[in-house]
Amino acid sequence: MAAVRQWFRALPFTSRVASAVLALLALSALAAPWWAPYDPNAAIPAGSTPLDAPSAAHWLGTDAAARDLLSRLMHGTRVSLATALLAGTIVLVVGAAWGGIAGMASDRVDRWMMRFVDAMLATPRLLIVLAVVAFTERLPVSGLALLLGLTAWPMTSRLVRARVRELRATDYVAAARALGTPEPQLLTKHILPGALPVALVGAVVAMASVIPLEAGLSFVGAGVAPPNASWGVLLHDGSVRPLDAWWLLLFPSVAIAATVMSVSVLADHLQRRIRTAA
Amino acid sequence: MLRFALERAGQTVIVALVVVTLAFALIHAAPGDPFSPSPDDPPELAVARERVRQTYGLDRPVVAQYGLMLANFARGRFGESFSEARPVGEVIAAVLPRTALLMAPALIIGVTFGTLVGTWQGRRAGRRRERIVGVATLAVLSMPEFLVGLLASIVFATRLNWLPATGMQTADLANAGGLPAVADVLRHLLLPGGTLALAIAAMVARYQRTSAIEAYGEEFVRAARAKGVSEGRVAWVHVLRRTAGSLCALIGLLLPAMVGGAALVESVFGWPGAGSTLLRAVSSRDYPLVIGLVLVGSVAVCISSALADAAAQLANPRARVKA
Amino acid sequence: MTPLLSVESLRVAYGSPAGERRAVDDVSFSINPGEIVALVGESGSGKSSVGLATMGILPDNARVGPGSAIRFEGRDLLTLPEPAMRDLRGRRMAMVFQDPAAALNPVMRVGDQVAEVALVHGERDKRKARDTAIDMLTRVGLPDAATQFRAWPHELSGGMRQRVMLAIALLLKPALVIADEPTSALDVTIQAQVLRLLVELQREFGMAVLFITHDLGVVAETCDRALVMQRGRLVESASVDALFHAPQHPYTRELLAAMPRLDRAP
Repeated sequence: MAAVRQWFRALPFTSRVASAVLALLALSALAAPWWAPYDPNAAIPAGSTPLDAPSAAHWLGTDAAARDLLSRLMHGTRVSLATALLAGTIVLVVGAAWGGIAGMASDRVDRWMMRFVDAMLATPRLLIVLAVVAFTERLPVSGLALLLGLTAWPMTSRLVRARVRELRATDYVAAARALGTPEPQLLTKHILPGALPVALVGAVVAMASVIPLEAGLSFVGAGVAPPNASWGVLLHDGSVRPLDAWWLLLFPSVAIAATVMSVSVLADHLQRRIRTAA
Repeated sequence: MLRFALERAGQTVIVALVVVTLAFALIHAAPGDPFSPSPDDPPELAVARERVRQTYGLDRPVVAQYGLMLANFARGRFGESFSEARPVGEVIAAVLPRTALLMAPALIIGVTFGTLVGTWQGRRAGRRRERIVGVATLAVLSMPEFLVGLLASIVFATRLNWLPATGMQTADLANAGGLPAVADVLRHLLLPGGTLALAIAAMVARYQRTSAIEAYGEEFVRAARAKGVSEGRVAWVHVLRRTAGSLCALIGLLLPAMVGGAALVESVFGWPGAGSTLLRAVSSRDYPLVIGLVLVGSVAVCISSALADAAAQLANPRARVKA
Repeated sequence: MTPLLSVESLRVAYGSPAGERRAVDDVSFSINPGEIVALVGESGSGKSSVGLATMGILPDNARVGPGSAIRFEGRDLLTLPEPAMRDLRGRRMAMVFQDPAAALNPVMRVGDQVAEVALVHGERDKRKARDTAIDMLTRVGLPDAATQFRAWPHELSGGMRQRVMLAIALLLKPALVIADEPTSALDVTIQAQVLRLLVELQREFGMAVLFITHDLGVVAETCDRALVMQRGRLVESASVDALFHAPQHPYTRELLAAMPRLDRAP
């Protein structure tokens, strides 16, 4: 706990704000099943009306089906963040693996592996995702996250590959090799730790791009299916009568914008730290 | 240069093959048979399904199917659209130009504006006004494009009623033709195009800022000042030219990413382009149309991206081959 | 005779998150028209900062003063408004940088960068500017200047690039040229060529030169007077003869002793 506080104090102001925002959202997401004031999917019995502005009973108001917005937002945060995290993990694992192998492999193998990466980078992610979504009946949230992750890893693999190549060429590694260090040990002790931070930054940046993508898909009904909530679904709900029920649009918008901003700020910070450490 | 063109052509082929293979896998891995007629199909749909079965060779052995798909796709034959009862190729040919009409001005304005802001930021990096601009850029970037569009629509169309909320043209003006029709389309273009331009500008500004900071740190800037070159000329002649290469490369990377945003913006504004058509096709399970649009869209982006990268190469005198 | 350049109590400090670092500490000297004066010192002595301060192109985190003045052709450069300074830069005073590869814009043709000097100082006719540039490029010894006009910086060798820098500096025949380690980045044989060229041009155009260097050998060959700087302070100022034969300051003696010589065992 003390270590966390120390790390927090060492951050510059913007990163501190960003971490606080993300922590708050993550907390509400984790606690949703237990702390959400109401059931996000059921209408509240007696006493609550649809399209209620924020009040003491419903801090963020209710939607057209008399569902409490705060509860829906908490659960929606849970879904959207979980999707982003799962996708981010896939990006980290696949991106690091692909990039690491390409970086360590022969020039020829590397060139073909990277050609594949370039081809994937040139293909619009949304199109691929939509194609898959069109052909699958009901894609579970985990499936969606998997799909989003599998279309987002190429950039990270490029970063990792570049870093691995850099590290391979350092005098440091050459010296270790001259001392007789076996290749696998070189990999795990010298190169992997050096490539990990870059992979992490790549995964974080990927998460920042997955969140709006998932929101967009859910918004048009191709992602998370109602009545389950996710930010995209909530935005859709909010877009129906935006002038009357302004709260339905405002709060999810703030949530998604704040999250993506915070993730981007942290990614920037991480990148700067890596560059100065190198 | 020739080598570059060959590499990029090869890449487009790889992309096309991957997409076709993906489509193939999806058709066969999907639960049930997506193309088999169902008992409650209206007669036109049943006919369409049968025709598509022919085009995709679904009654033939698997290997032959793949080959037939490749051959047909290469000729632009994707079968018939389930929802529009006309050849997919026709639908694509109709909607793609409308997307181009939306994206081209958005790209031009967005890139120009983003470059100006980013370069300005490079000069004044770290100072208060620049940091505020940076936060604003980040805020715009952090919102999904469709959300920006939604908000713009609410403010300018619904609330203020200055601009039309949806569509590409109003029926009577379109029929009348001539200058009023053109002006009408432009009016409809403003909100969706403006939304996309803003998103593009934010993205470009963010990257151009970093490029410009780097360029400003190089010795030739100091040398130029020592010649008596004004700050304005340093920014808009020297630094801009220096960053032109990475700017083009950025656009090349940006285009695939923009497609997603553009499709959703089209949907929000009811702009009848390829993006909104694709989304509708997905929800109505119009498989041939989905496949056709995804393939054509991927190839189109690939080519545009290659063109942007070619420009990046040309901007670097070291990469040019001497005549 | 009134000095062309008179530096009075120059103080330059650089600010950083860790605090201020004083680079130039109360340096005063003057240069007469047509003189070649060396400013000698090791890296970190502050000699480059003197040059940058004179040209008015110090980085943003630099602070000049208090109590400093730099008088050039009768005016205090430190109080001149920016447009006036810009008019002087390139026209009445010019700078030659150490690394010509870095000092030339890599995406602009060499000739355009030379002609630019004329264009920003009032020449309207692009063709005239071009011709003046080609003439100058020929004068600095660039073979086939008309063709080389359209060359890119990376297509030229280090020596040729430095000649281009000289062309840029001398295009409008300034009264003062500040040469900041103009040969340090070049190969030894090319160094000699460029130095010879610089001396030739000085004799032809008669400009004053502030030659910033750490290489005493070069000083002996080309300069009339020498100023020695150590850690921001001016420790000795003498004619080159006096400096080499009767150095006054212990630091100068150290520098001289450190010079590699062929006739003595190290």
